[in-house]
Amino acid sequence: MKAHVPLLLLLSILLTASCANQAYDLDKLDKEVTLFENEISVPVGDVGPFTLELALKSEKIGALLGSVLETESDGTILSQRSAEFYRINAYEIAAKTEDLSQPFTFPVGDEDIFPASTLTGLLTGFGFGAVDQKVSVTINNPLAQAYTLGGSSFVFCIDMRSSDTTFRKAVDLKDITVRTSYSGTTKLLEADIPDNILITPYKMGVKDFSINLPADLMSQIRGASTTDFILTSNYTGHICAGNNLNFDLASLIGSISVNFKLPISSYCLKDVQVSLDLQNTLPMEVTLSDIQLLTGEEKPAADPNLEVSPGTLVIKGGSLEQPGVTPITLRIQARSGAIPDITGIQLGLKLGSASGYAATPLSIKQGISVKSASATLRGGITFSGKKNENEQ
Amino acid sequence: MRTSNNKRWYLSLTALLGAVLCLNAQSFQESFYLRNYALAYRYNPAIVRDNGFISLGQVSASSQCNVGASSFLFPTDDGLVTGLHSSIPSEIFPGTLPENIRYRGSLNAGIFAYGFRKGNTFHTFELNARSIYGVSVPRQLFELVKLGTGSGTLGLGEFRVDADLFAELAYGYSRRLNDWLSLGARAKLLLPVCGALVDINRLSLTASEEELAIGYDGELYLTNRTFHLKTEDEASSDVPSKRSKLGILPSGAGLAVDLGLVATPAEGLTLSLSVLDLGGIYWYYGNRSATSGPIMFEGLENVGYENLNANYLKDWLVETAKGYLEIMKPVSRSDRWRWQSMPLEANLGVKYEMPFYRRLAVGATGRYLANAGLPYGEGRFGLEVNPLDWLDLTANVGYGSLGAVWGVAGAVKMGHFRLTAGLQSGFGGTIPRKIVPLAPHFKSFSFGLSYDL
Repeated sequence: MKAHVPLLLLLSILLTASCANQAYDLDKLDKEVTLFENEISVPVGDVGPFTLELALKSEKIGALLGSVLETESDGTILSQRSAEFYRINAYEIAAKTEDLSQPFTFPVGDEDIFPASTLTGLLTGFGFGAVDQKVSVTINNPLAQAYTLGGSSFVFCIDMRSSDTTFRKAVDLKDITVRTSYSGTTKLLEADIPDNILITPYKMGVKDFSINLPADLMSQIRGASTTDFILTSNYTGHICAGNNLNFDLASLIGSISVNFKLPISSYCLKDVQVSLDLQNTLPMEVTLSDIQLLTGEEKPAADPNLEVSPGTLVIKGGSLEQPGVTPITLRIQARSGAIPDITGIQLGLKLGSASGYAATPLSIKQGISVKSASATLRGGITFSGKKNENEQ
Repeated sequence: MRTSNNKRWYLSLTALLGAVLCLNAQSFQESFYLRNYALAYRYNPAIVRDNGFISLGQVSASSQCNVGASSFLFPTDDGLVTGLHSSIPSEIFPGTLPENIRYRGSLNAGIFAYGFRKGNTFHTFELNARSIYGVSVPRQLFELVKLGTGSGTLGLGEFRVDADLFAELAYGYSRRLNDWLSLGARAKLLLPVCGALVDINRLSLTASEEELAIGYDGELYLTNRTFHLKTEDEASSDVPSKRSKLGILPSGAGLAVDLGLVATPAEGLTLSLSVLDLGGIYWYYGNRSATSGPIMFEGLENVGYENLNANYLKDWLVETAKGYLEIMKPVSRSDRWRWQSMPLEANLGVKYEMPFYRRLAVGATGRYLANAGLPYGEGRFGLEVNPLDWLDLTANVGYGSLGAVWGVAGAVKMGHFRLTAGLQSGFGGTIPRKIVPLAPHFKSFSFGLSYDL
């Protein structure tokens, strides 16, 4: 039986040698893994565009402009306005006239109006311009026979910076006969403002205006829908960036917030560099300032722990046919810890004129998109391996 | 979302580790020591048994891997971590991994074996189902995952996955020429059922801010009687995807022989020399498909602002990945025939029964396996004791090209029945409650029941 001893000894050694090593107990495994510790660059591709149409749907900009802007079928932003700037009733004329048995001239004098819409006026105040501008002055005829006019009609534009008159048109009204029309009007002035003049008309109206009326005026009032003489101004134009645009939206409505959700906290990123070509079809230079990333689920707020550099980006302008391309490198770093879930971005927006695109009409299809974006990750992507409490 | 992502990573890592480390088992070396073991002719066809036998359900398996779990798992002061943990420097992981992580495995399921003795000769008949498989993964893959790419092109070496399933019909003949010398041979008709080989011999990744470009040059062999491997051009054509309804018939034919010699030059001293699996298989219904890249990934394509959310991006990535898999379809198909050599095995053994106690024997064995990509050699010292007529035990230790090894086996006889089991493994321990070795290893397992006639 002694011969069994070496075999038993050998078996004991083998069992010991092959036993489990408790240091490798998988139940105690820390499942955190960090990938790409040095650096990895990956193409991200194209994102967007973020168009004016989307901006008009946003909370702040939409509240300001969304309900008042009209758009053409091609997306261009139309400004139009028809407004009465003088009205007098035939009975009132009769009351003010001593002898109605003879033809007579009723003096009106000078009447004028700022023809463009309040919105257009507001925008031009910030330096926006207008192209394809058409203006006209009309008058109706409530009488059963034609009448003639006296005086002149006019329209003119003034460069508010230099006080120079950049456009002026006047029409002598003595040759104009306002024919009988129960519903139509007669144009006293019609003008297409040249597209090199991007400012809206300052004033439009009549000067030394008078109406030559027939005898027995009251007998001429038959069947018209109104007994008033009405002077109307008409204006249409397309909004453009203009030559002197300097529109700091941030000073008007504060920073703009765009909310989206990128749940990247589980990857424990510390340093992300994003290189991208920003493609701009807006005919204006766009300056993005005070760029901050938002965090927080219910109330996204700027996260001071996240540093975005550079804080200001200037994007050159372009058009739908020839977008402006601005290469940009954006770096996002966590001052401490890792970058949490991103729930949006907040930035100030400033618009300025872009050389060569001042007269390009604004379209809601224009906007900014990201082309050929790439991301470079440094410090690795860490998967914590901890169970997500929200997931069952 | 986060957990789902994590799960995917862990599953991938686990699958990779599993593919590399899982247990399998080869020829049962301990059968050299076990007395009158029924299937000893598998180790050396020259071994002449005392009496006939019938065996049903013998199973053996083996695996070899040039890494162990300790190459991927690291105990630290803060607990057990994987090589991808930030606390493990890249010089350790993947720096200490071999250039290619290679794994080979085999499985032999004995369906039926019968042997009988006639004078000085012994005859065996055997039907087995066998499978041979392997994986080769380049270290650069782990470098990519651990460190990233920086810029430029990263060569990712070669990937290889292969698996063959075939039936083996064998006839063995051994003859005792005289008192001290026996010779034997086994002829094995190999009937292949299905074989597959994916060999991507060139794989590179170029990462830049403009694009991720994967260059690849690969071959895919799929050999079976039933299915056509369609190329990209044939995908929409009338080429049938099934070529035969008789899928159970062999997909070719092969022949292999085992040769052996046993000498007893002195009383109690036995010398054994054998060469196994000398031959190969001609796969007939072979599809050899070739495909090559590059695949370019240039990022997202016009993702709208309204789509800029995690779910959309996840779905987009899945669809993109499917698209690229489509691109990797084979572009050509040829070579109906494919020759594949069997992994040759050579064994050398010597044992000596102690004159003072003949039930105790000591010995030494050596083995060489010509596995493709992972050749293996080893030497062992063994001890065997047969204390009772119904009990036979053996154990051995040694050193092989994958480190120190050991083996144990035992046979229990109950009347005419004989139950045999054996295990070979390496030193270095295992993962608790798992059978995954921590060190590079050769591992095998054998189990079977026979009936002595």
